[in-house]
Amino acid sequence: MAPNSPAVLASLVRLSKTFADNGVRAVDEVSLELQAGEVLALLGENGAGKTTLMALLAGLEVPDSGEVVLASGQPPSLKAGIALVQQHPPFAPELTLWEHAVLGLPGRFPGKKAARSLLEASAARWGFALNWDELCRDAGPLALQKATLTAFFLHPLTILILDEPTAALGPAEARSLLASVRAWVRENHACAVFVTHKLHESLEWADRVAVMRAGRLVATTTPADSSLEALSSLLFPRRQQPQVQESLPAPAASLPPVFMAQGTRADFELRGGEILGLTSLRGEGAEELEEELTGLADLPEGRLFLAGTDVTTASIAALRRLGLSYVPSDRMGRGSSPYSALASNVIPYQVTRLAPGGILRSHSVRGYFRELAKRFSLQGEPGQRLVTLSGGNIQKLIVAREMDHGPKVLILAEPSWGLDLEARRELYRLIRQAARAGSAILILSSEPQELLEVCTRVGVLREGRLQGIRLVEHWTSELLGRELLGVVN
Amino acid sequence: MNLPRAHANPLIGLSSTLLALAVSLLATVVLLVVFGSHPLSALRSFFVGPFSSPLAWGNTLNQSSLLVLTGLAASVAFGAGAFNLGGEGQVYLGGLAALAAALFLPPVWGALGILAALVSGMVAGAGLGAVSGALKARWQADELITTFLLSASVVPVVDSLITSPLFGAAGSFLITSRKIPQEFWLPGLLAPSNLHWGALLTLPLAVVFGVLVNSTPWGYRLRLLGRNRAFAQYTGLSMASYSLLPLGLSGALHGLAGALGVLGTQHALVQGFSSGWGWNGIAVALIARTNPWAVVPAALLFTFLDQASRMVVLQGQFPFQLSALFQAAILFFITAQIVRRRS
Repeated sequence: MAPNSPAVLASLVRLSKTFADNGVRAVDEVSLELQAGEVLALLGENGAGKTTLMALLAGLEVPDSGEVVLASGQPPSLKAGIALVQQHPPFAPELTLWEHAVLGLPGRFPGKKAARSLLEASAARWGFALNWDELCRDAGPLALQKATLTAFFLHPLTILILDEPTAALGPAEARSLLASVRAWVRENHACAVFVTHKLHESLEWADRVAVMRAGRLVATTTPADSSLEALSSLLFPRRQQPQVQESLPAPAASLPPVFMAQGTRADFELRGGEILGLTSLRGEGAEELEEELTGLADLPEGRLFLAGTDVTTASIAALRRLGLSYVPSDRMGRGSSPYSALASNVIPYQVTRLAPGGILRSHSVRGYFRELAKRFSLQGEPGQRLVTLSGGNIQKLIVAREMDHGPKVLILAEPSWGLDLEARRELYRLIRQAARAGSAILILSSEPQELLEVCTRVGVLREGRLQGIRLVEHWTSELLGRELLGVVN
Repeated sequence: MNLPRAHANPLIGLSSTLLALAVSLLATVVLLVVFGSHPLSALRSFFVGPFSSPLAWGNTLNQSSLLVLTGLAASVAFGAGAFNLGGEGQVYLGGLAALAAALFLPPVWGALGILAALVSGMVAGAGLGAVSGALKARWQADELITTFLLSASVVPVVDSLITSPLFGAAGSFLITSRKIPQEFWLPGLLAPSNLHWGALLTLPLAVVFGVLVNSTPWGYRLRLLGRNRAFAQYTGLSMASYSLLPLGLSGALHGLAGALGVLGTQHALVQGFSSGWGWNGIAVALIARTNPWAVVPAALLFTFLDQASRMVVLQGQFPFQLSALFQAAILFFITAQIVRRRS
């Protein structure tokens, strides 16, 4: 074998994968070769398809078309030497770390003593110090990750995949983990792929960097040929400022803000008719903010005002009475009752009105559903169960329910997750319509591009704090990308 | 833990229940024919026995009226996603409270005293259920555990109280309390059976609960809570009061069953008189798929099965265990979820 043509351990050949439940094409014709002795970094925005691609490589998902060809000729699996360490490895809370690690080891269970000495030797080699008797429940994410990794190193592996291995780690821990991985790759002539959105990390630790966008592999490069700037514009390409289809009248600055956060990690003022978008990478505080602003969790600091009332400690019911509506990111878990009828899903705020004399009339419930369905062009019959609808139609039903009573403030979290282009367009139209009708709208989204399309102002959340709000005209998608990643000029 | 869900289309739910019923009756017939030395007479006493005399069907009706109450109690809690496994203790405590009222109120109160005793039973049961509700609201203690444990600890306390000087009959060696004054007895129906006028109370109660749960905003919220708690919270339901409410209500119905047992049937508190009512109420609620409307037929069915298998056993052809086997077979088929692919 010639030294400058390294052995290919695995070839991904035109892999595609579409998820049936939401119709999203997560991976679109991706081809890539993994070479022995290399560390590959896989970069991409949230939802770019990185995790799905890695699941295909590990044999955990089956591609719709294309194939994964291993040098050994086997189908991809742990048995064939490919391991995927998930960002949050699944675990049984009542097991100790060593029990967690030996679960799934090939061959016969080695016995407690033998297992522990195996694990301890392996951990020591990679520089992991672990308390193997700690319960998984008490161990932090780092310890769990290291224990999982240690266990995987006991397998005869050729390809190790790490999904966002450093997302929960501090800089020193991240360095030590990536250094161990690199040493393992070099020593075993193996290959490691790590999924990340930290650009500097990929430049520092990878031999090659692959960039994904919207399910496609858009570039592979090497750190030597690249830079933070170059990677950042690959991730968030300079695009023409999207045409604002219908411009919204600017709200009079003299109007008092209808929704306002003061002294919090993310202060803002929001007036009727405005659409404010806040974007962040996953895990940078948007999930917490969603719950804090809607009364599901307490604000850790500062105060919140809605329609001139201090609502810092108000109950959800009180917030709703004051005119807050909310479309949650967790549509099936929080935003709806999937196994109830469509009609039951739209009436929670109308039940008293629909029950003159205290008795709910089914014809008025159905009538209300039909009227709502007509105005928002919803699909389905009132008695149909919600789960039978598509993702886009479920979201439209939730949005219709929340918009129906003319909310003062409408909060939408990840409103277009899993929606196709048509459904998104319809959703944005509804959001603009609500703004024109005078609602103040706040969108939390991990997709910066959509905020540039619908919002009047946009801000970035990084490390849990708001980094400043600007009018949408003052952002480009490239600028937003840099602000998200913390790339400072 | 998942309970059989009411189907969005009630006809599908009903037809699958009827199918299960048919299959289980078939299984029972097979058991009778296989194990019986005189299959025909066994079949006759199984299917006809419970209706053969006013005594038999009076007792069947009385027993099912109590099961309507405990079945409703379990349904109300289950439908709202609260697992009340404390029925046994709540029934028993309700019986004790009714006994106390009946023993210590002046007999001249008459009907008013009966009402007071029934209300005391409800309040006592509701109180016990509400304790679990409060524990859940305050500390997220799982009501599945707390209702069961509270109930299990209440039973021996009541056991010891009924023979104490406060309630017990002096010089009696029976494990029972003193008899309550005759003024507070619920008037009998269909003598010599156990049936009494109080049993008739349960029918309107079932109707009221059916309307409450199926057709009021309040019932809608309870059902929402049972279907998806996080969604119910998101729409603004107060989790504290909606933890307390279903368990309290369920406890009240259990307590009423206990009170009716004391005032209507036993006229005293006999140790362990209500043993099994709470658990059988859960079985009834499962057969009814937690729909209050279906609780009445489900309770009738369950009691019929109970009485019918006793009849067969009494006839002497079958071992005692067989009666439990019949019931188990039927419960198994009815509560087995018909798994359908979700489209």
